[in-house]
Amino acid sequence: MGFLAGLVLYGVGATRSPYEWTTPVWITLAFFVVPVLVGLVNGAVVKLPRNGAEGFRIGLRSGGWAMFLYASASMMWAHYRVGYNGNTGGVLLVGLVVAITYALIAGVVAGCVCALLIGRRTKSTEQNTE
Amino acid sequence: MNLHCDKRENGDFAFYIDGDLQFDTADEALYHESLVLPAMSLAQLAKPDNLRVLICGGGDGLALRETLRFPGVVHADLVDYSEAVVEWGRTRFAEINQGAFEDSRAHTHIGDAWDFLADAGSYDAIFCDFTVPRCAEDTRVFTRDWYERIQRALAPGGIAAFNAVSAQYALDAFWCVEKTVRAAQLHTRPYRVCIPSFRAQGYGAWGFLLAAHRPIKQTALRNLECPIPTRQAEMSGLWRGAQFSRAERLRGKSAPVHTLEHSVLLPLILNPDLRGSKAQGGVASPDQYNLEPLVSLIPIVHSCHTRTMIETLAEQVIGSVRALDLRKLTDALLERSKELPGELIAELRRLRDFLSGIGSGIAWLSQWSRRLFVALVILMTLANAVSPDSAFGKGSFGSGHGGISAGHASVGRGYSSFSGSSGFSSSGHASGGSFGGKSGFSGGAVGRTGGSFSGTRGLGSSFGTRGSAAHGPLISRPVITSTGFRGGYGSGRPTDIYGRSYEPRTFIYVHSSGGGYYGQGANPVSNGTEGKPHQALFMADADMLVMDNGDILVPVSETGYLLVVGGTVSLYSKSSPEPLLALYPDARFFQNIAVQLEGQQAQAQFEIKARRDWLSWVGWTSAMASSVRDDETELRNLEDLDRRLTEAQKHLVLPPDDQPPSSRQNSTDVELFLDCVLTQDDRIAFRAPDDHWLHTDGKRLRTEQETTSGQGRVCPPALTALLKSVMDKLSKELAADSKSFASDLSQAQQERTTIQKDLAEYQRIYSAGGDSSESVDYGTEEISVSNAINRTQNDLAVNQQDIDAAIAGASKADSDAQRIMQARQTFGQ
Repeated sequence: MGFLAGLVLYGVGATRSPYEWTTPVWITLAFFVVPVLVGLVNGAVVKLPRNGAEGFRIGLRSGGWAMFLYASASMMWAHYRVGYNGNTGGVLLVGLVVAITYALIAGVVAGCVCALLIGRRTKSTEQNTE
Repeated sequence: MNLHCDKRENGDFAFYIDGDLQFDTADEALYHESLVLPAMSLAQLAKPDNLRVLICGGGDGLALRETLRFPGVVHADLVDYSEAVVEWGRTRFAEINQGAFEDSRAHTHIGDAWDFLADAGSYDAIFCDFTVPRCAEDTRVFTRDWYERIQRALAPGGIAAFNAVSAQYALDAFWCVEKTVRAAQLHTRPYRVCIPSFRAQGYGAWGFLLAAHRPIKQTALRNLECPIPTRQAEMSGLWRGAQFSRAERLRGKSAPVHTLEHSVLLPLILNPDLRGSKAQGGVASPDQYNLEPLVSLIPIVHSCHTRTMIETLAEQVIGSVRALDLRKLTDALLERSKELPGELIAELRRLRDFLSGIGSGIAWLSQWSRRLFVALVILMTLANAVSPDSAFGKGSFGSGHGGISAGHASVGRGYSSFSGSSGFSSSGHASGGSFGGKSGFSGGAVGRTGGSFSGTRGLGSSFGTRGSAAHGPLISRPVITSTGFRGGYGSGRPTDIYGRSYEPRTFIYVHSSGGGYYGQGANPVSNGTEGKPHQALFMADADMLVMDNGDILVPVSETGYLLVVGGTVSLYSKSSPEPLLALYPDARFFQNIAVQLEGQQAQAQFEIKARRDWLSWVGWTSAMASSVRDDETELRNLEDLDRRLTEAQKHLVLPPDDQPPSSRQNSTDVELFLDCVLTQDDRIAFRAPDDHWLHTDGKRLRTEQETTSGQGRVCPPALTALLKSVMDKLSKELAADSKSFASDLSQAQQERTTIQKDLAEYQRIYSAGGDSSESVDYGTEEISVSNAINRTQNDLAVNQQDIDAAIAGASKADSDAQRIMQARQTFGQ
């Protein structure tokens, strides 16, 4: 669910390029708002009991893959519009580095949020049980 | 590489490489004679003996056989990267290639033709007989870079012939190859031939190209006399295969150029109808899950992929997703659990528990799966358009193919009458020029082509290459295909919007203060400053330069140019920094320049935005990636160009558009360039800024009043020299026009004879059978005889129009040329 939410949100974000969003706004959206929402969705729907590490991995995967797909597709589109690709290998490498880096950042944020939320839910469940 | 021979009972066989038919012994002579004999015949005309020939590909030795039939050939190199094919050529095909490899003149090289050409010497005839590309790597020998190598290896007077692609079912690809050859600075003559075996395979009429350093007139094909006998090809009728209808030629205009950097050929070959299907289709709303239109838009990027394969795959995935009921599946498996290992049973129970825990049903899973599939299809479609080779994995080539049917009738006339109903119109020669107008801006001249800016004739369509922008598979394409903005721009080499760099051009001038010689009562105007050298920065058009200071400069001859700035137009000679004359600032002239600049600026801004978007993703990697640094350089230069174009438009200052019409409306005037005409009394008249006309005979320069009184000033020698150079240039262009018109006329007349013969034949068939529905061969298609008669009569009418136009054009060109020659004598040598 978190992954789908991430795809949808990044899909909305993809209506404009990072340049058009302006850098601060885009960084906020791409590395904070969307990953946090992904983490929240994941943390809310995942079935307990889970520990924090499991929650982090779930969030990392969802947020990371969503960002990876968004970044890859956006970069392919952007480079297609540039047209000239004298150094295809170099361009592919650059695209991969960027997509992986961004995916890691977004994934870590989503993972942290997911782990925190799971921790809170676990704590709350334990309190209710007691 | 899979080689296969399909033998038939009568001894004939067909040869396939990776499932593609290479030749069929029943009609291979038609193919190879059509490829080799026209080029060899033309090459031998230029150089009867000591011919050196290069064949790239063609390892079967059949093209080699044809070249060696010419006694003037002393050396023939054949280079093919497939040792296996060459081996078959030496052995299995030795009988049909008549032992060509054993000929002492033949030299065989196994290797990459690309590398071979790098060190090759000069050849009088070069042939490319490659297989049709089926993957991106194969298209390398169809790129501009490849043809540039050919161009360099081709001896002066030499000629090349290329096997292209189907000129019937892959017309866009065919024109792409043709345009690519032209982009390599070669003149082309495309033609097509019906090869029955190719037709039976569904390839349709096959396309070939002749190419040379010099133009290859259609009349050269028409008058082609092959010095050796042919077996199947009919050389006398070959020219008809070089006829292309107007609609076909128009498709050629928008064809893109295939380069290493901008690879476009393969999608055109594999998706000949994609553009058409896009127009008919349209993507349904994802909510309806109607994927058919979307699936139909996925371009085929590999020869092993077919439309059916993609559709079948999509249907299976959709069907699987719809039918998926994991809970039932696990229940069913558990019912037979006794037959399963214990570990698997435990795993299945866990899965059943999991499924029961995630909701009331799994309908949502099916729903979301379908939505995900829609998203994936969109992503794949996009990815496929961007990077075809990455989007689909490559499979190995299959070798399956159907055997071709025996029986190859109608070899003889297969390639005739391709032109269709409108195919007889002559080429639109001598049109173009800066803004393509035939009437010029001054209104005083009649029928001058492209005279608006510079009097330059036949430069071709100034905006022609823009057509390629609309040729992308899915969206409009960027136009920058060369690296000029990464290096040449700003370093003295003018660059055009496509990124092509040109030789540096420097002009030394001072700005006119409104007069010039004979302006405002002053003698040669000087603003007291030395002329400053200005470099051409941007080539907005073949006839329009944007200078580094934002001035617009329009060359009119080798030695003269117009400076368009601040709402004024001044005539300059390269020999002096001072303006020679101020000319009338025609509002339409300015408006057209402004439109041109706006269009180019809009394109530059599109390119800038694309690069900014791209760099907003990857800009931070510039320290480690040279390609990103190049992108940044390109962006900076494009931004600079954008600023300069803005500056140039500001400098331009449009005159008011309510100007009075020109006071000269003499139909006998011959326009030399903007508001400069050759009058009936062999003088040259200029329209001055005050809308009066100045006249000169090369010796004196007079106003209209002074013309009657006989007074006037001495015409500056620089102005006289400039006018002479303009007339010399125009004379050459008119002579070329005249020749071209004469050639068109001759061609049209010969066509008329042929059409009349065809018509007589159709009428004979009609009257003999009395059945109007009887089918006859109308070139590439069989149509009813009554339809053929109608079409042929229409052809005759169109042909008559062509003849009339050619006669009128030739007459006007001859008359103008004669007038200019007389005036040239008046102006002295």
